[in-house]
Amino acid sequence: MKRWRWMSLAAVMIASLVLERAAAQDPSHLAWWHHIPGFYGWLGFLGCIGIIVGSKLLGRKWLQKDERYYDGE
Amino acid sequence: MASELILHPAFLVLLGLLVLPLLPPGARGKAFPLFPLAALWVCWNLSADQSLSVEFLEYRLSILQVDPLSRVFGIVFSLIAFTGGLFALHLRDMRQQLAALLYAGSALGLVFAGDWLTLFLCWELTALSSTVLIWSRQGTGSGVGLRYLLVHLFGGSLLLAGILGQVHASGGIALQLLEAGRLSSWLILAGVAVNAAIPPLHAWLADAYPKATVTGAVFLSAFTTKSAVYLLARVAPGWEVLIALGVVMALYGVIFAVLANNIREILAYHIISQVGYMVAGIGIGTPLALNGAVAHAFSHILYKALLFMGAGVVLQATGRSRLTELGGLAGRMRLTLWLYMVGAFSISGFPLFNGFISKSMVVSAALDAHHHAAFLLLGLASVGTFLSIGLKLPWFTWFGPVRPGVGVSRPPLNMHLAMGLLALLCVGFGVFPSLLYAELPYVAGYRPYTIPHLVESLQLLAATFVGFWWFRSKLAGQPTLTLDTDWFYRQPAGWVRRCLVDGTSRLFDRADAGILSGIGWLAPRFRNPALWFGRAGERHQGPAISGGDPDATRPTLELAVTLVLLSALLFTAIAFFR
Repeated sequence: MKRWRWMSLAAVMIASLVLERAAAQDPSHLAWWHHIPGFYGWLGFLGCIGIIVGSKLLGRKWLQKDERYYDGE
Repeated sequence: MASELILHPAFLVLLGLLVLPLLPPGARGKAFPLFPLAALWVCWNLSADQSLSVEFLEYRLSILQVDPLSRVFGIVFSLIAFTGGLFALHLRDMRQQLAALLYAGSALGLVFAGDWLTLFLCWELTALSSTVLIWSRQGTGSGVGLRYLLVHLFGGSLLLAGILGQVHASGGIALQLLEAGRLSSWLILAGVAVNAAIPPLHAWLADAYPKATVTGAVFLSAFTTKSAVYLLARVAPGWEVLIALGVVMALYGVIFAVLANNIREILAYHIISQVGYMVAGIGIGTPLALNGAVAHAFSHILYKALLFMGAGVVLQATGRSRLTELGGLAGRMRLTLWLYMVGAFSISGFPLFNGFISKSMVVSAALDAHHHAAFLLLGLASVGTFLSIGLKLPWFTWFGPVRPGVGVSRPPLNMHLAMGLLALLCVGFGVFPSLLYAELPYVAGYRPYTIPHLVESLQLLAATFVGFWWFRSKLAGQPTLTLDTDWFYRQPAGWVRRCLVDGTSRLFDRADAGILSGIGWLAPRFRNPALWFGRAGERHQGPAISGGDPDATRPTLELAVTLVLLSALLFTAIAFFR
């Protein structure tokens, strides 16, 4: 991917982190994760990897079969 | 009465069933969208207190009962039937056109039904008509349509059993909130769960939708699951079990979409995932959550139809729908790609697209109601949605390695027009959310464009992109089939057929052979009764039916008959002279 696209992505992340610090969350809705800086970024990144690895593992070990699996039905 | 029926949106659509066959084949496609357009006009102008009822046996059926909830579903159902008709404008298949009209009309009848009987009739009509849209695709085979139909008839039976219990308990047929602890309520919920594709009753969706016709899949993506969402919102708001089921749905669809190879199967699994947000919202049950569920159903119908149209155009243009057979089409399908991407940005919840303004309502309602686990897991499902629909599918279809020998034909203009209209609506509602919020049924103030919402979305989406880029090679399609809960009825199908069909068939064959052989044994004996008396030498002579030469035994027979007649004469004489 081109360099300027990575830089735009980094700019979005930095802007979101600054905004996160600047704008306070409604205190009635505060939860434990609101104290972790960039929590949604971590959720996105680790969640994405977790979904890929977890799904593929589940598929390879158990769920994925040959396309003709049901052909004899 | 007839003049009042014209004010019912469903009847306006069903009118097409009578008119379309009278038109020349070339004009049918062009006339099709006019009927849902008229229904859209009527829905828009319906007022909240309007109703219409008819007498049927000893019941008064409430065939039109308008309130803000039914009206908003009526509007979006009519709208999507119109754009679906525009997408299928070039079609010259009356069977599909009539099935689509019946499907749209019965879905509209369902959302405006004020009683259980009307609702059930429309429910079953949606199942029957939608099956035709699966059967109509050449080369799919009848198996998938039959499975689809059987599952829906099973769901319909559960619903009917529940309705009978409900009517018996309440003494009336009017739609009412379900009461917890009643068997009939659980039966209704189970019947609705089939159509809402709640696991483990969901497998029909990912099995059938990828095999439907290009245009039929657009209609399928809109009506069946969303009319079930409507019914849940109508009769079971605040049922907490729905929160857990909705979260499971949201994640289940995400996991299976990662494994799917067919682009329309990926989209189908993400219907399950997105309906999960709606089901969870209905389970939370606060005004904000219910509005969120309804708004998300509205948004979802628009962007999911757009996505299915995009995948349909790829299938129509290339004849392929597997990721392992696609790739590098961006240069040859630029308009389709960008229109698809509008749908992908919408479903992923990008700010300024309609998914953002509706999905964030459900998620915020979960946080407001202190369902923290549901909030985080729905956020995780958002990650998976962007991963599969916004990144994996477009990357391996339009970018990625170029597959040799993939021809691309030009799709009809009307297909892109329909996609353009839906893309415009997705952006329009995303930029001006108040247009949608004004139509929502409950009073709940909500502002989507706040800094915490924007921060949450931007961080999730940007980080998901980074994760995808690093691991994208792992997401390449694989030519495999993924087992799902349909295994439980597809795998034993062969065994059941062997026992019940082949076994019965063998039994009939043997009985048939036994009877024929019995006839073969008896026929010569009735033809020549002397054989009963053991004329051993003649028993097996000649063909089975002829039984040898009857003259050979005639003297014996004459003697026997004479003796019988003499005895009869003797007994008659004795009886007479006594």
